[in-house]
Amino acid sequence: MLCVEFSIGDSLTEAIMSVLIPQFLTASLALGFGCFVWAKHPHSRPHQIFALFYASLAIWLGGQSIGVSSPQSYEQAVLWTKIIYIGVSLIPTTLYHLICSLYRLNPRFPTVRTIYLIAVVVILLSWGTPWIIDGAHKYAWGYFTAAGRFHPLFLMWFAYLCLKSTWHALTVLRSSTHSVNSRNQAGYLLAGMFIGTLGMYDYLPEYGINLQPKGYLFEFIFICLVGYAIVRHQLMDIRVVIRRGLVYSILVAGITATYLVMVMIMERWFQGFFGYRSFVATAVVAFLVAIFFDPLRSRIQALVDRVLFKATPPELAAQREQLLAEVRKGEQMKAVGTLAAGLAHEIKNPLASIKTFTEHLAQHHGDPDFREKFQKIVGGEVERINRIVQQLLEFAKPVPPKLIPVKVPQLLDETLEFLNNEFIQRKVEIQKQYLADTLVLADPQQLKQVFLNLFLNSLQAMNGHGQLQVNTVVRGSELEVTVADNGAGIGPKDLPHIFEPFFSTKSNGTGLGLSVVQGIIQEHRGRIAVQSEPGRGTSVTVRLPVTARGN
Amino acid sequence: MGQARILIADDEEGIRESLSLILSDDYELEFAKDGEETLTKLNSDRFALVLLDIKMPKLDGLEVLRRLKNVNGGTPVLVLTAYQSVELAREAVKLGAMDYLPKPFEREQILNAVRGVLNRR
Repeated sequence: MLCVEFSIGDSLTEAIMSVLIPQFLTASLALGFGCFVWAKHPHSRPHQIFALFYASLAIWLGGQSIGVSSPQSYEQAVLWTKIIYIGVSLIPTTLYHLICSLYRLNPRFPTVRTIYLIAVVVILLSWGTPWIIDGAHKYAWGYFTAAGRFHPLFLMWFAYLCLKSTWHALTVLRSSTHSVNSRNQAGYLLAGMFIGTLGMYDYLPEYGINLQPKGYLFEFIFICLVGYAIVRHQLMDIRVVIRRGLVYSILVAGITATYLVMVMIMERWFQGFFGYRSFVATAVVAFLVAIFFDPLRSRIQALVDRVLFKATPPELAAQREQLLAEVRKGEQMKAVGTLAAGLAHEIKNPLASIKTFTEHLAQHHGDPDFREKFQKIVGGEVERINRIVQQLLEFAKPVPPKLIPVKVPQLLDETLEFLNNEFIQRKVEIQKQYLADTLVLADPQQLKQVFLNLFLNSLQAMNGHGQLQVNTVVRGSELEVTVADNGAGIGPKDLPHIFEPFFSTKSNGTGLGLSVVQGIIQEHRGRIAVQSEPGRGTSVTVRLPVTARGN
Repeated sequence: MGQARILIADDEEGIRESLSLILSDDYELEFAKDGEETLTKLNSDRFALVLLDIKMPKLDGLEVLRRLKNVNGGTPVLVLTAYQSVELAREAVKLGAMDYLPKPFEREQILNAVRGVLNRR
């Protein structure tokens, strides 16, 4: 009877505890790690190869763990040996390819194409002939791959590729052309590869020597060393910042795998005890294991935090805060970069005109037409540069507002009055709707500048014959000022950028107007929002905190 | 043979006037102030060369290049811009521009580039 043959015997139980579970966990670790590295840079070739290499390790170890313990017949065991050999033949292949890809090596022999070709041949031979693998040995602790007649040739090829990869890594380690970090990475990889190669120990039971396949132990050390190289020395271009995520990912993979293994053991125990399998019993076991596992998971996570990161929850929060500060600083630097690029663009245009006109001055100074243009263009461009610099200063070093209670409608009227001639000339109709005597704490000069910028933007967007609506209304604790026009509007592509310094859709705009407006509103603890539809107009809403309401 | 016609597409009056100073003695010039006007003029008229600014209202220079491919593939384009990014240059050349001139430019630089393109035809 099959179930008698595979009831929990001493050797199998021992093998499950000392080999199969840790083997399965190492396979899960490899798979989780591989996926993690791949997810970091999915389009990068070395990361793809790394993931493939780890997947091969996972197929080998996972396949062994399941294939030794699970088969209920010889045929099933043989099928597993073939599956395992897909991973086994790809291990040296992907390792060699990874080293070549990491250090940009292009060896003449064996080429990457050759090694993959050989791997495919080995896989085909192991599935179709008894030359590489010849069925399975049956040991007391379970089934195991049996080496075929030509297996020693494959073994030599396996060892050759591992040695060649080690040699390449050693070359990098000794080379002075690589950076210190690169050499550190190569050092860990090399140590890992040296230990990982000892995993060839698992070939012994393939030749009929009754030893349990404990090669996973070396692969576990290998994965840990590579993991350390990733965390400490940015191997695979993964920065140290993600290390906590990395550890948690591995942890989750490990815990999930342990959970599955525990369910499997309980299921087997049930089967051994009662002599049959039951779906209900398996489900109940899964449920119970999940309940007991949950607190265990939190404890393991806490332990990992303490041991690996030596931090308590407040320290973790502080670390996170520091990380966020670094991110903010990075964004600030990016903003400075954008600002500088914008400034360069805005100043280079007028410089181009000034340069050309001054170059032609000697040649054309007698020409009255040229003199007139010179005065207009050069004068205008110099004034423009002056304006840009002035606005940049205002933007970069805003004066803190001097807050006094201000009647916003009065301020709006004064600003509209200031532009009255423009409105008449451009035939712009103004519609106002104010709530009386609403006071806000504000710097009147700065607020006037805000409204002036908004009105000027509307005027330019309308280009004559438009309607400008200016409304104020109190909503909750805020005064809402809306400036709406029926002008050209802003396209959806441009809308997200309108507050960025030097972003302008106008030919003569400095791109600083709305940045300054936003800065002032923020200084007033207010908010600003823009809605726009191309061809229909733009509506800007400024919200300021209300101090007190008048009568 | 008459003078070669060049379309100068730039929203900045200063740049249009500057290029006019450099080129008007040897070439017949036409001007466009934004991307749309550039396309309209290219659709209705033939030019030996377009000097195209990247940052323009309505349609930017890159968009003009993209549409130009469909409208009038034969007119060579020289891109002029105050942006000095290699990516932008590559993008413009990929879209069919023949060369890329940074602002502020030298008189000789413009003349050589224009002559270079026109002689190649």
